[in-house]
Amino acid sequence: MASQIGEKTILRARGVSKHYGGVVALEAVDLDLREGEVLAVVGDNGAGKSTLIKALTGAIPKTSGTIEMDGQEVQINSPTDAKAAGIETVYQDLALVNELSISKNMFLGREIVRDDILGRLFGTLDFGQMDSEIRALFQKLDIRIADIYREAEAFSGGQRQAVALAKTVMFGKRIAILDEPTAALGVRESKMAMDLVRSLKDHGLSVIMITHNMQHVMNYCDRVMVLRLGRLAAVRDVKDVDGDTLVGLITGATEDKAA
Amino acid sequence: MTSATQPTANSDERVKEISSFRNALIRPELGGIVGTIAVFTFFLLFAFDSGMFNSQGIMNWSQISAQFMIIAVGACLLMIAGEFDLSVGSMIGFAGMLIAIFSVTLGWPVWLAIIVTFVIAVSIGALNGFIVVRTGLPSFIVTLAFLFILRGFAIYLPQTIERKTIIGGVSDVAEGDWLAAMFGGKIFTGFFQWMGDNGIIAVFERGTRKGQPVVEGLPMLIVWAIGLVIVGHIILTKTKFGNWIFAAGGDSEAARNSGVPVNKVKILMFMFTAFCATVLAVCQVMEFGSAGADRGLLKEFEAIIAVVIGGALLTGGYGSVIGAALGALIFGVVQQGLFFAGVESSLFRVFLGLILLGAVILNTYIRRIITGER
Repeated sequence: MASQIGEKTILRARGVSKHYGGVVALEAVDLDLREGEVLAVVGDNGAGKSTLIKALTGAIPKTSGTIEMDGQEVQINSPTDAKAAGIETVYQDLALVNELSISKNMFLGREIVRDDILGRLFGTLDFGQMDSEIRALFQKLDIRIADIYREAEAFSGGQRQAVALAKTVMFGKRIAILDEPTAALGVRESKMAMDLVRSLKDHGLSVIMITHNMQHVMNYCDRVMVLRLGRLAAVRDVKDVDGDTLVGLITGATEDKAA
Repeated sequence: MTSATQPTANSDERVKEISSFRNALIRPELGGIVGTIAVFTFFLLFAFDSGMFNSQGIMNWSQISAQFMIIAVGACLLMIAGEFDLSVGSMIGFAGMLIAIFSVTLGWPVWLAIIVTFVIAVSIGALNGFIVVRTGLPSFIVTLAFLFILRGFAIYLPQTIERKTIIGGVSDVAEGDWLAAMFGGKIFTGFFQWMGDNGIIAVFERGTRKGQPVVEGLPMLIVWAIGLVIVGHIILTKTKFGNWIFAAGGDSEAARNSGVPVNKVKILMFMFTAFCATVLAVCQVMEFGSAGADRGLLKEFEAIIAVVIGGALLTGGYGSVIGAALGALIFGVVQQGLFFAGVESSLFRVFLGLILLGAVILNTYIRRIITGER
C-alpha cells in the first residue's frame, strides 16, 4: 500500500493556530498530506482535531498559519475557497439532503443540464446522462445502491456515507476531509465505508480523516498525526506504530519529540 | 429501477423491497388524486341535476378552483423550499388596491398600473424573503407581520385617498387596454360560439344576447392557473432550479455544503409567491371592475391547505405542484358543489378542517412508507 503513495506533498499547512480570546484551541500545528495517502488525525476530546479541520477548510478563520497546495500558497478563508481549491469536507450528517433521491443528491449543486436550447435557457436536466454516470461510478467504487431514485433517507448510514464519498470522487476533488466517517455506523457498515475510503486513492484522492477508532487507523491509514491539547504531539507512519503507543501518545503517557 | 448493473445489490441492502404497486402509491399526489375522485363521485351522485355539471356550472367551479390554484402554485413551491407566506391574502387585497389607485385615482394607463403593482408586490416578496434568510426567524412570524402590514395599507390607502374601502370604475379605464385584457379577458370565444351553435353548450333563448352561448369563452383567470401549474411543475421536476428548491427545503445545510445558493432560492420563491398573489389580484380587479380592501381574506390559509392536501410536507423538501393543483380543484368543486347541492355554505369550513386533517394524516402515513417505516 505504502508504495502507492507519491512522495509529493499535496497539502502543506504551517503554524496553524486558533485562539478564542485567551483560550488556545490550536497552537502552531503543521500538517503535510502526501498525494494518495490516508492521513489519520487522532486525539482526545478537545485536542483540536475539529478546529484543525475547520481552520483548513475555512469554516472558521484561523488566527495564524499558512496553507500551500502543490507548493503554492493558497488563501482559504471560506468553505467556498476550499471547494474551489479541490478540498471537500464530508460531514456525517450534512452531506446529503435526505428528502432528495440518491441520483439528485449526487449531482446537487452541479447538475448536468441538457445540451440544447432548453438546457441553456431554463436549466432543464439531462437525467439520462447523470444517471448513467452515477451507475458507472457506483459500479467502479463497488457501492451497492439498488434504486438510485429512492430518497436518501431510505438508506442506511453506511450507504449514505458511501454516496457522500462517491460525490467527492465524481467532482474530481483532490482532497477529501472526513470527520469521523464511521461514528454512527455498525461494524459491517464501518468496514464497507473504510474499504471505500481506502479505494479513494485509486481515484486520485488524498484523504484526511478524523477518527477515534485505533483499529481503523492501523488497518486503513498510511500515516497518523496525534493532537494533544491543541498541539501536534506526534506524526508517525502507521507501520511504525502500534495501538498501545498511539493511545499513549493521545493521553500524553508517551512523549514523542520526533514530530 | 432494478439493479441491472449490480446483480448482488439486493442481498446487501437494508432497504426493504416494496412492490411496484405500493411504489406507485407513495407519491405526493396520492391524497389529491383520491380526494378529487371522491369529491367528483360525491357531487355527480348527489348534485348532478342541480346544474353543477352544465356549461355554466362547470365554468363556475372551474373559476373558483383556478383562483385557489394560482396562489397554491406559489405557496407550494415556497413550502417545498421550506418556508411559508402568510401574507398572500393581504397581498391580494393590497395589490388590487394599488392597481385601482394608480389607474382610477391617479389616472395612469392601466398597463402601467399593473406593471408598477407587480414590481411593488414582488419587491415586498423579496423583502419578506430577505428578512427571513437574514434573521433566521421563522417565516411564519415574518410573514404574519406582513399579513397585518399589507392588510392595514389595503384599508388605509383607499380610506385616506377616496374616503371609501372599495374603489370602482376600473372596468371603464381598462377598456381596450392590452395588458388588462391578459388578465380580465376571455379566449376561444369563437370556439365557445361554435359549441353553442352546435348544441354542445347552452345558448341564451331570448333577450339581447339571443343565440350567444351562456359561457362566452375561457376566462384568462383559468388560463393563468393552468399556465402557472404547468410552468411550476416543469420547473420543479425538470430543472436544476427545481432540484435546488427541494434541497433548500429538505436540508438547507446539506444543500449549502453541496453548493446550492439556498438564500437566493428562498428569496426567489417568496418573490414568486407574491407574483402569484398579484396575478390573482389583477384578475379579480379586472373581473369585478373594482378593488376592495377585504379581498383575499384568509386566502393564505386556503392556499396552504390546498398545498398540504396536494401532499407537500409542512417541513419542506417534499411536495408536488400537480398535487397542489388537485387540492385547489377539490376546494373549488366542494365550495361551489355545496352551494349547488343546497347545503348551508358555512359547512364548507367544516369540510375544510376535516379534509385538512385527513390529508395530513394520509401524508404522514405515506412518508413512513417512503422512509422505510421508521
